[in-house]
Amino acid sequence: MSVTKIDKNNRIVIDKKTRTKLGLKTGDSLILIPSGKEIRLIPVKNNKTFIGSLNNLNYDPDDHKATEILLREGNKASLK
Amino acid sequence: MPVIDTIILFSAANTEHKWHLIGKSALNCVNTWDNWWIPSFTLVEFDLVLKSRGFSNEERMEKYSLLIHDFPNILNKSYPITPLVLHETSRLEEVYELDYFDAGIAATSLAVDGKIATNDQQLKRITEIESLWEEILNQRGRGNNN
Repeated sequence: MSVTKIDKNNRIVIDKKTRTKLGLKTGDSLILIPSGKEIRLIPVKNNKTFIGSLNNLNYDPDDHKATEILLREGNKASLK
Repeated sequence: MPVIDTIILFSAANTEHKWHLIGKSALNCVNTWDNWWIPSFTLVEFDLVLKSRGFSNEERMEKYSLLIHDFPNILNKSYPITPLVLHETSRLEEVYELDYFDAGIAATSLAVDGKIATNDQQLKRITEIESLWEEILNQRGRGNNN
């Protein structure tokens, strides 16, 4: 953990220990999500994009896997 | 206005998918236009399919980080699952013998204005809704990956 301040240009600095731990590099993006009175910072590293992130997954809408999972989990819960 | 089916997320995320350009176009429209929505049903179905394919929690978190990063307005463009949506979901399941998520996505579209971005034949059977597909390519939307 570290403490940082917002400077006069509204910027913050992420200390080296945190950058190293999370593998953050110059140019990486951070998503800022207000969460109650806090801010969640989510790194998006290595210029990854959603487009192309599932290149090995061929989705078939007729599989209805989601419904199967939902019903399977529901059945498990009812057996407990 | 249009809500998007789950195929949109999967085809947008797979550059080798035969419907990739349509998927990407539709996501850009959701990101750009006030009248395009992503149903909560679509997001839950997407997530459950990832779980069923063995994606770890960390991998799934990454997908959503990337989705938010590339299409930030989607954060405010998710249409909730309301009691009315669930009422219509049950009705559509019954009347059209639809899969649960297909019915949920169709019900969400009826809560908006009855249009869905889909090429799913099951959804096209519903006489109460209008499906959009190839014409999505003519829509102009902006995203990080145009």
